[in-house]
Amino acid sequence: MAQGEKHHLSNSKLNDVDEYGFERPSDFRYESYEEFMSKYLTVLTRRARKWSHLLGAKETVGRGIKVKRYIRKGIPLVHRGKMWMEVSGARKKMEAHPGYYKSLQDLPLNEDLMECIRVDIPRTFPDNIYFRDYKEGKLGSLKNVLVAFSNHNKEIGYCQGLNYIAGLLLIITKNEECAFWLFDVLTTDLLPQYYTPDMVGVLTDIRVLESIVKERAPLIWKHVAHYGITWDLLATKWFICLFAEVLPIETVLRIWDCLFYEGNKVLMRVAVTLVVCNQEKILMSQEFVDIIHCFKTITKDADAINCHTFIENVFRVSGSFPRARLAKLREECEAQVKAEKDKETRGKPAAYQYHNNTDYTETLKISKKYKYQKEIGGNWRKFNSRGMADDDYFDWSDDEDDIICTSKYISSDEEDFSFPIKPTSKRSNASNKATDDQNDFEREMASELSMTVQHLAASFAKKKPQNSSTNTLAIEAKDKDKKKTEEGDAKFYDDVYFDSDDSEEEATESSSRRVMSNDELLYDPTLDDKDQAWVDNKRRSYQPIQKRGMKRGGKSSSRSSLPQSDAVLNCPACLTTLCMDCQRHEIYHNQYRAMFVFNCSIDKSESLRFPSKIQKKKEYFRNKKKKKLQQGETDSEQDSRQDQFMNLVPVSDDSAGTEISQPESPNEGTGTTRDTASPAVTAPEASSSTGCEGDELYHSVNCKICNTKVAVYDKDEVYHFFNVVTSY
Amino acid sequence: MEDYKFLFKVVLIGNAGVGKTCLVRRFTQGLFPPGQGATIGVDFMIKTVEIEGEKIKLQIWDTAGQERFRSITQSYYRSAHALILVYDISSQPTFDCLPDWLREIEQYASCKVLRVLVGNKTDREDRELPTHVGEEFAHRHNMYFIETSAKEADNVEKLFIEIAKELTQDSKVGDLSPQDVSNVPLPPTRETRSEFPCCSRWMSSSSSAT
Repeated sequence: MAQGEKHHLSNSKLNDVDEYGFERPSDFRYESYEEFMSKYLTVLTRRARKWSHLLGAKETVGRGIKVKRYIRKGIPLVHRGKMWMEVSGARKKMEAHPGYYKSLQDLPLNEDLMECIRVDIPRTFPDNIYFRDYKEGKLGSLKNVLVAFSNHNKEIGYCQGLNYIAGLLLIITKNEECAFWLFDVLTTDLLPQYYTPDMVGVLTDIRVLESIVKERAPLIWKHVAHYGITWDLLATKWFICLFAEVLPIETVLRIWDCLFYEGNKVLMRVAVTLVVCNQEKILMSQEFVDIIHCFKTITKDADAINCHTFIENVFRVSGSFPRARLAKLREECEAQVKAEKDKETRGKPAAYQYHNNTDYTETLKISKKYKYQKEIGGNWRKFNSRGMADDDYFDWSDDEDDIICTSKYISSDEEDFSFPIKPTSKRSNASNKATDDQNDFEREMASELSMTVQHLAASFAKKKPQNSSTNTLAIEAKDKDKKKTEEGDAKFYDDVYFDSDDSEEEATESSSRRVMSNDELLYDPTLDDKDQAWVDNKRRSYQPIQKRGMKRGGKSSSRSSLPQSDAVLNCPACLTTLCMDCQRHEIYHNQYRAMFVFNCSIDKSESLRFPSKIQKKKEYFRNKKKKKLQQGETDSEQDSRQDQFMNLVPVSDDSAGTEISQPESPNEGTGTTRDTASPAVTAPEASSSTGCEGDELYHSVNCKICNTKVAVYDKDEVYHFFNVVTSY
Repeated sequence: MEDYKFLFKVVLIGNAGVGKTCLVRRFTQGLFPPGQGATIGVDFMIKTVEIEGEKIKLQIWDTAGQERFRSITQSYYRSAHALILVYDISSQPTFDCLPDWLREIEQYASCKVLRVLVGNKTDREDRELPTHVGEEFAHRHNMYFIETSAKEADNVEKLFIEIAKELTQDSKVGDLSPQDVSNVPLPPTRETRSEFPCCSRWMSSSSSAT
């Protein structure tokens, strides 16, 4: 099968028509496409092999991190239609209603609606050879599906744009009934209110996109607003067509892979990525027309064509994207949209609700009741797709594809898919509740870039540390440096992204395939895996021994997998890695706490004192829960604290052979008092531990390499990072 | 910065499939693509024309025809200088919807907007609506009228050039200089329009508008 597809694709690249029947435009750049294809074919072949392996004799896949990663890396064309049916629940729907699709076609249809459909059918993918003929082509099928759907869903009936979606579904499934049920899943479960007459869903999501852009790329937002361009002009088609007819076909299919499996969040990720990744181009456009033109070209350029990298960027660039946050944004934006609508057309019922707009706590409550979830299935499953995942998975991260997930996505934990109970799951859930959870790194990078554009170098320079070796360089050089590092990161992700799940198979197949030496390859293909393994191993060593191998749901595995980390922290000056396991602060998102660090030195000569009064109220409730731990405190304060952290963060004695500077027991009550503590100290979430009866005491922590102040160290041996660059 | 004397915003509305996008593409790009996909949301094109030696920039907004898209397209009527209401001469239903569209215009567009009724697809042999029907409708509703064929490039250039001429004239009379579209809340005044429902003028004048 894999071979067949490869053959098919490699042939098609020479043709004027691609493998889906789309004609190449006259200005199609065959050379750059071939360049991309030559690389992508390797990926496709590997994916095809992997998928065959995954599926084996089965027709279906379950849910879980491995499947998710596989899907993010693209479902091979031969499996795509079937997998969409499987993972979206369309097959179940279809099987539950045998003969239903056929029966719909015989029903009479409202003449106006019929006219709408009739007009749009010949206007669907005019550049596709299959959409030119009713008899031989797919136009007849397209009409059948659209008519059947109009009869099936009277509220939606038909909405322009649906023709493209149904068309693409037909191209992939090659089966009317399958296309119909996938269509039903999309329009009613995955994207409620998108295609209803008031289009509240689309209007809401356009606003959500705008507010995310405003937050993450304020310069773009300002720029666009300055020229009086509204976001509905830029993004309506993106959302209505789910990027079909917008992005290159292969890229659209990759997005839809994720859409069917993960839900509608991926659409927002794609939109944000498109905007953020093209910041420079957008800002360079200095006229109303140019900006609109720019938004059109960015959906067709080389970056968009290179679907593999594009999808990778979609999950990397859009960064942390908690569902709760999205739901909240949607709620707000929807209220705005409705208020405006009510203003214009008074008296119209406003009974439209996003399924995922349900009160978050409610959602959380329900999502925790996995069994219940399983039963109700349907819409809930779509909007808390965590519910589809296995028990452990769901328990330890409320938001399956945030940063956390990105790191999972990247890490090569192929052989290990069940997760131990995450010691910090409670906190993780709580932090997901935070209203303002966004990717600081991205924001920082974006603003940095913006600053360069605007030549606001001076304010930038202020941020730079004193003893840094880079501070002698020009600002531009620093910028370059940072970008370089970013690129470096990207490359790292790239390789892992492509190769992470290869190692074990590579070995088994070496007999049939000639193994090229590293010299021939000009790189060591296993290097990244080795690096990753080292990192994993290292991080695993932090795990408390009793947690290892402990599984929920009775899954057995010889190796424990890693807990999630909210980020990898680096020194802002020299970009040395400081920490790989940390937790982000619930409120102060540029703050992280951790117990295991690298390249850090604690400056005992400097002590910072922080009065704990502010915290007391907050902690009253927390402490209540922790009465037990508090009891034995007076005697062996140190020990009890350690015990407690066993519950929160894993403790390990094993630090031999690493760069960790082993914390010494903090000498309380000594040192000079400083009230001018860093902002980090004003809200040490982590210090919600026992023993904060008196003032909090902190020591400053410096980067070992360049001596930049990066964190404070508390008496509980927890590092509170506040001056770091994050990466994932 | 491109040099131009006036900038006008022209919005095309009308039922789905009447040929709005084709009119715009014919005018701005000189193309009539054999297959034209349905417009989703709002599209935008620009063309600079020369009227009496002065450069006039036309910002042309192409909208999706389906009723439910009106919530998105309405906001574009408001600041329009001219509205082109298009129907398909071979499709009675597209003509029957015109009163609905007029209500939209009344509600959302400036009352002083230049309104043009366009019967498109004159190349079609299955005409359902004779020219005089459109003409009468336009006359009754105080609109300009013209029949076009985007396919044959018939009257398309003229349609836009006439609009540009009218708007330029009005701007000069009304002493408005809408150089910057974002600063033009109202289109130029059109006090004389009711006295000159110029449909006949447009229909009869030679097609060499430039």
